[in-house]
Amino acid sequence: MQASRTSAGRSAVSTAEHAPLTVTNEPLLLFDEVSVEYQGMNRAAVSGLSFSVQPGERVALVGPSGSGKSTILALAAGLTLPSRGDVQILGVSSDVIGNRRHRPVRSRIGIVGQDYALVGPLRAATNVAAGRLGQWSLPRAVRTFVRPGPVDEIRRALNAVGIEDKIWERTDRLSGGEQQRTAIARTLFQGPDLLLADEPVSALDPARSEAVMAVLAEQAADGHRALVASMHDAPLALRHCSRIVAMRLGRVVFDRPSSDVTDEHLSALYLLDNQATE
Amino acid sequence: MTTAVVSAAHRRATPPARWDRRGWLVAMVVVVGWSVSSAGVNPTELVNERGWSQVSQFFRAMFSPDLSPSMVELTIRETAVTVSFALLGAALALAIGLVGGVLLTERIWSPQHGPMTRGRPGWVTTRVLFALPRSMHEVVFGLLLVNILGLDPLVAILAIGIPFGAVTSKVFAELLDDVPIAAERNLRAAGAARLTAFVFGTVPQAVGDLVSYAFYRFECSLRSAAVLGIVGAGGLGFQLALSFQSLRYDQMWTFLWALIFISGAADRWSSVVRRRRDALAAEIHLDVRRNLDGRRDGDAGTVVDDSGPVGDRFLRLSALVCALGVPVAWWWLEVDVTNLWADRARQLAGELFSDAWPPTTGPGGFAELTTDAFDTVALAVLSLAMAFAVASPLAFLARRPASRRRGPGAMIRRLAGLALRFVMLVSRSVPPPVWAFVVVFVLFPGLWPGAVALAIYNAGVLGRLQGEVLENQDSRPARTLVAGGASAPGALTFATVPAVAGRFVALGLYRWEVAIRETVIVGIVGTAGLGRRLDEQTSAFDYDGVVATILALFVVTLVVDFTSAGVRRSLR
Repeated sequence: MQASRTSAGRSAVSTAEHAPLTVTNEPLLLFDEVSVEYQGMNRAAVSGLSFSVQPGERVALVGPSGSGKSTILALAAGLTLPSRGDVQILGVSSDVIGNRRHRPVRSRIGIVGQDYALVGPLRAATNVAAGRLGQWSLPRAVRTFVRPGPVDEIRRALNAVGIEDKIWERTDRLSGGEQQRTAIARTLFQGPDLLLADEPVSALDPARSEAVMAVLAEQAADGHRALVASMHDAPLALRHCSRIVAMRLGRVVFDRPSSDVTDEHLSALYLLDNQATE
Repeated sequence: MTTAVVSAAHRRATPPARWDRRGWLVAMVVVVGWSVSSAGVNPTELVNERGWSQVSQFFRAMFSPDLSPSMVELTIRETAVTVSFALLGAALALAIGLVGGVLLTERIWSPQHGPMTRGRPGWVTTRVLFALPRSMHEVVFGLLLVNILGLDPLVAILAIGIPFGAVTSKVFAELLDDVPIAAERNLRAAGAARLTAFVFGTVPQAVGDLVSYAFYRFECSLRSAAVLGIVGAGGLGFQLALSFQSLRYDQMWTFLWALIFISGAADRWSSVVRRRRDALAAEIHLDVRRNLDGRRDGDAGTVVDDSGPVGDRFLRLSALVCALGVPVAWWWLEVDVTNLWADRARQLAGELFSDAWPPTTGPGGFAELTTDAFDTVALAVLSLAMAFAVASPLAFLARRPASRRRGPGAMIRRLAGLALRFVMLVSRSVPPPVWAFVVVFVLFPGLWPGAVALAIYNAGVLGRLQGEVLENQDSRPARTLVAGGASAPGALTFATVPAVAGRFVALGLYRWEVAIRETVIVGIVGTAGLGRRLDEQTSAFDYDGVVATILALFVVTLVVDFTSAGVRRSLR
């Protein structure tokens, strides 16, 4: 509970020091023997998954399509519940994190979904402002809805991903890449302790991907927060993340620090990929 | 220079205003204000305090309908008649719609190659030809046809089929024109004939939407069949009017319960069919996306059973029921098409047409016609403003909860939602003329009783349509906000409301267009506007006056349609 106090009111991309969290050794995310089965699918989306994410870690999930990366992120966000096993998010089991009393905990989770999950008819600024709904009272939120809140901070968040000029545009008029960056700007404005990003740069060109990944990685640079991102571009993941978790068919193939990941590891993954599609 | 303007705009501390929307908002406030003032605001002149006991008497009868065996038997027979009217009317509308829909598309009139042109004489002619029947309510057709054919099932079938056919044609044409033209172009370029290319290249892509709309039309036909009964076409509506004349509320409720039942069943059927269709469309769409980009992980969470579009048993069964229902209804009603050209009908039609031309404005002259036309607009505006104000929050409160949460709180919510959905079902199943009869107990004649009656009815219809929008809404934005710490009301304000607001207003405008036509049916109980005028003229066999009134209605309808289209454009 106390940790949530410190994260509340944290500004977006500011470099100011954050108050140290009271609990630093607790993992931000803990998966214990987690399996997820969807109805009508012949195999589990993920099975027997155990791993944890510590403060300061920048974790990249890599692997072919359908390997379970998105499911892991949905589990970590509390959007999907495990069929078996337990998921602890910021110290709270995902079974109960949806309860009203855990709202302060949820407000420390930042989510960039693969589908962006933005509200089309709203302006980009309002979609970014929605990142702080967990910290604001309802009247405050409604006021923001009429007249976008701290415009300077929203502007800074959009500037960090290079679309400050789109601030007053309607979100559904933005291109796919701009929408993706709006979703990222929302989490920058939110300043979460656990940042979950599902293919955050899938719609961006290489140079922009590099810049946006740097911004995301910077979020976890202070040692108190963590980033978990699923990615397709393994070299990009190696450059910006501290740890690589490689997935295939719902299982972990390898889980090691980026510095330990060699070309052989990656080509083995690609080889598996080819075999899987044949 | 343009870039300078653009780069300046985003530096503003507040978002730039949308002036077209503000303009429409101001116009709306002005029009509603004007409508209220022309209806009058002095309660002592408007409300008849002594009428409340009759209203409560009417509603008390709801719980003690006449269930004597002869009544039940009559109700079942008349229900079958009303359903048969609706089925045959919808079938005729569909037949007209299939032909008219093709004729109204832009692409069927466009040259072999080269750009689409809207100005082609053939296209313009068909558009105008279909606009007139569309502007007329089923009851107007009913009133005219009753005078030619007498009490014949053909009255109801034609009265539903012709105007609905014209509406269906327009919607079908729009759906067909929405299909990307590339497939058809390629076929034509390869030498296929125009119609062949259209049937093979365009129609298959729109079939799902066409079926979905046809079911919605059936749902509308059912309500229309009840109203037509009241003006003398037979069925439940006719019995309803007879019991009302003898003030037998218990018998009225027997018929009303039957109407509520079939209306609820039809709504349910129609929305299940349409949702299945949407699910299939979504599934097909998803498959295409999966094939195009391998990015999409298979765990999006949407799992549909793997039976293909033709494999859905419920959809096939529905189609079969409809296909068998038409001949059965035909046999049950003993429809005899030859009555259309029987000597008597021909003679009466000839008399009617010779009486009807040239149109005259009657003793009140053009001024009175204009006043009545304005009253009609005010009536529609008032009723829709009230219906919208009631229906929009109701739609939120009444929706089925998406989550399978348990506990006493969720239970209460579910029960409240069920109760509200039932209230809305009753309000749209009871025909507007019946609401008008009830409202006239407590409101003195004028614009208000008609407006309130139409508002009650339209709140039910609008609430249902808005509820469908809510249920089909993408829940991911709201769920993401909640997962990131937003409260339920916060997510509602930021994600759900803004996402549906545009659709809600568009539906309100659509119902406003319909309400203009519906003013005719509350006019029949003598409330106000062109509807009352029409009723007086038809009972006096003043057909040249009727034609003038119908033309006035046509003009009003056109103006309202254009205005509504303008507002909807500003919503995009």
